[in-house]
Amino acid sequence: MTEGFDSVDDMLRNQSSPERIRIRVIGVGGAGCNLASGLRLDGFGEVATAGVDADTKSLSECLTSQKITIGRRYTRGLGAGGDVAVGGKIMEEEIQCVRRFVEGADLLFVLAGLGGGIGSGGAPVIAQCAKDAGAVVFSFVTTPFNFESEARRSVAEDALVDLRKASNAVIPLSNDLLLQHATADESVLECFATSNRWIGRGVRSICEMLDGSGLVSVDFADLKAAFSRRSGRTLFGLGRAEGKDALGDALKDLLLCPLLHVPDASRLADTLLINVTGGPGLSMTAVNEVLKTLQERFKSKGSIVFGACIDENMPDQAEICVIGASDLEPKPPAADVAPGHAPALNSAETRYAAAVASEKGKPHDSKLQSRPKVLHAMERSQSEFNFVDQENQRGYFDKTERNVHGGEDLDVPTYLRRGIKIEI
Amino acid sequence: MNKIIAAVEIGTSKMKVLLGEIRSQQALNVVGFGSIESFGVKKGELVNFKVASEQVHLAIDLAEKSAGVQAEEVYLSVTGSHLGGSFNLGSARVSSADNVVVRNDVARAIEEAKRKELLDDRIYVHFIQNPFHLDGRPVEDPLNLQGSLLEVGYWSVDGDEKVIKDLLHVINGYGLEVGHVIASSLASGEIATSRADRKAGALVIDFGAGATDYVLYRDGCAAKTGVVPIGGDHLTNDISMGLRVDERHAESLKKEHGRAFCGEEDDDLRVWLIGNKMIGDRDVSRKAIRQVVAARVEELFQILAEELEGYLEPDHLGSGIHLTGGGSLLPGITEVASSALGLPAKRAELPTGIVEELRNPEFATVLGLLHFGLTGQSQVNPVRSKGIGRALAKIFGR
Ligand SMILES: Nc1nc2c(ncn2[C@@H]2O[C@H](COP(=O)(O)OP(=O)(O)O)[C@@H](O)[C@H]2O)c(=O)[nH]1
Ligand SMILES: Nc1ncnc2c1ncn2[C@@H]1O[C@H](COP(=O)(O)OP(=O)(O)O)[C@@H](O)[C@H]1O
Ligand SMILES: [Mg+2]
Ligand SMILES: [Mg+2]
Repeated sequence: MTEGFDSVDDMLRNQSSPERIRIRVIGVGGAGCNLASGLRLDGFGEVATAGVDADTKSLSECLTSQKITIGRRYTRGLGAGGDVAVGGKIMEEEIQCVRRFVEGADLLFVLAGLGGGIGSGGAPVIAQCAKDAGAVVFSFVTTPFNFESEARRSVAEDALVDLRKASNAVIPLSNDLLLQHATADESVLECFATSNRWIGRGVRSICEMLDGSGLVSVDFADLKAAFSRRSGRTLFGLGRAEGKDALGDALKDLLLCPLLHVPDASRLADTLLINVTGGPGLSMTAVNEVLKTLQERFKSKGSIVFGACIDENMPDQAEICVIGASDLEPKPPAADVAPGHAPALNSAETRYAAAVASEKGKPHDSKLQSRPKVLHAMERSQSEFNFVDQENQRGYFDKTERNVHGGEDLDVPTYLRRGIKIEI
Repeated sequence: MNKIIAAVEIGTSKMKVLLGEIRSQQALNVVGFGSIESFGVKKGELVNFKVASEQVHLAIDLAEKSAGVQAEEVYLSVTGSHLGGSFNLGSARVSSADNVVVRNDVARAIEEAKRKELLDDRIYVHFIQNPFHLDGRPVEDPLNLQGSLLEVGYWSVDGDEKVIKDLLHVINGYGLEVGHVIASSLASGEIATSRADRKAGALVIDFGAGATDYVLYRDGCAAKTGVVPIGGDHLTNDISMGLRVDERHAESLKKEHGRAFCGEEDDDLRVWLIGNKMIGDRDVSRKAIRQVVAARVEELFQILAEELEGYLEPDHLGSGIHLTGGGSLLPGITEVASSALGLPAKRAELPTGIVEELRNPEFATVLGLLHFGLTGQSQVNPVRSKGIGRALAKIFGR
């Protein structure tokens, strides 16, 4: 890691030979176990994986090296029934079972699908436990489709807030955005497979850069320092290409990455992690170019963690992974004020609260029942709400008052809210 | 006695100003015109006072320079989701022994209809009188008629006081007074329909950049108005996010290839983003553009249908739907409007005699404002605005 470095060479000089660091991956709940099962981390012998669930059936299909059954007392092996309170309670009471696995880790990846019971209730508890034990915690989680129930979305939003408190970085993947990335006839299941793949590639990228055998390796201490502050909104993007100019095309692919298609403001990452993987032909000059472009694009003034590796199995392929995090601090409202008046927009949150409150008075508020949860989350920490994933979906309207109608924010594109697949 | 009035729309896409010269309160000539890109306005409301003010001032300045005269009074339109409205009924027992309606009965009925108090931070923008009913039967003027129960309804438009005051400040900053504040829906409505249309019943929808304003006329009177905070900017943003292109390109894709519905024949056609096929250009699917646009437009009309529930019986809306505002240029929009609302729909015809440059749906609101200026009325009261229809033909030709 360097602060405002001038070139890759500068950075190379900064390298120290890394010792083996202990990386562990834990999948929590049904989706989390699927995510952990799908990881292909063959190259990294040291990475231990575990699946945790109350659902014995889900665990029996899990391919992790360890399986941890929890909640027998409550659920008789049947899962938390989607109840996040139950999920949280079980995890808290039985954290002992997990502690042994997470305690030895330098770096822990927590994987879960938010919206259900075990993942949403349990992941924050596990992250906190690992963090207390001194691990750096990266949580990769999916957020429910908009067409899943409002209750699920609300559970996910709350869980995200909790998870952010307990992790060094939380990387949420919106299932809706991934659906947009899927091809026309893919089903929801196939879309889950997509998110599994994306998260897998994200985890792998980080492992790769820490691996020590790369062209440019990252010192774990630097990674740890870069993500030492509690981070708020994160961005995550992957680009991949094959062919003559694989690296250039991978960069193009990355810039089109749906996960990066968020408002300009949120692209300003305070901490940026970039990993480039390519075949033996990967040249340092080309990598330097990529780095420059990305640095400009994300206007990062803070720290950059950069890694580059050669993969013999990817002769004319290249892959770029970007993870960015912004520091968790409330941003001042963007609006200007007419002279002699109270602020034109107080804060998006209060106005949202007001809008929700006034909406509730209207006759068609049936869909709103689970909304108070969102408000609850805001009361706990207003600034955190700024980073709830949903906001990424408002684009041009990012900084404006929410446009609440029947429990939906009309500024979020209709196709996203309705789960309509766009065939780009 | 000639008077110069300025019609000002602080639009989300453009600041639009027309200067009109009123000749002895009979006819009106458009003498000046200024239109300039809008900044600092989103969803019809100010989000950056300073920047928006500068643009409005530039537009007024342009209009004054082109006219070579200065405005004396401003007619200002207002839109945005802060606008609300309610229908209030007032009634009075006819007091005289012979059951003949006298002035006092009328006054009592009106007073009751207007009595409703607003919350502290809200103000009335319009009281719109709807027809009198005498013992349940509609009458144009109840005075001296016989009956026992006189009723009158008012459609009242109210808004957020602070938001409206901010708008007034913008104009004051140029050194002008705002004489009248008029809801965009009513301004557009008056120019987009004829008196006969309103008499037969009509729904005017102004699909702007930041918001969609509507007014529904029944028996010649505005019986309901409203604002749905969805506009052309939403289409643009949806395209930008859905196709991963920047706003500028999304806006031009929308105008060039957008359509309100998505059909089979759209399959497989790809269109160029920039069109020069140079570096940075790429092709995108036309179907994708239309999918995104169709979803949004369908939702807009669904919301309108919800808000207008109970008002859409074809019997009361003989003249159907009139679409205006820049968004009404979107191909296919009349078809979607018609099927969603169950009424015939067309693009509004602006009165002949308006110079070609201004016969554009984007100018419906400012044209409508001038129209109001001719009679100087701010309390929209169709019952008393007899002069307007007649004067219309003379208004805009030079
Ligand atoms: N990526 C991914 N997401 C999933 C999968 N299964 C479920 N989900 C999502 O994860 C959320 C939680 O479901 P689940 O993990 O079964 O609940 P839990 O076991 O109670 O934590 C759901 O609302 C879905 O959005 C999966 O296999 N992969
Ligand atoms: N041909 C077209 N197809 C679709 N939308 C259009 C077209 N022409 C203009 N628009 C849209 O109309 C809007 C501007 O309309 P206007 O009535 O001037 O809005 P406002 O009064 O809110 O500024 C913009 O969103 C613009 O993109
Ligand atoms: Mg489960
Ligand atoms: Mg307008």
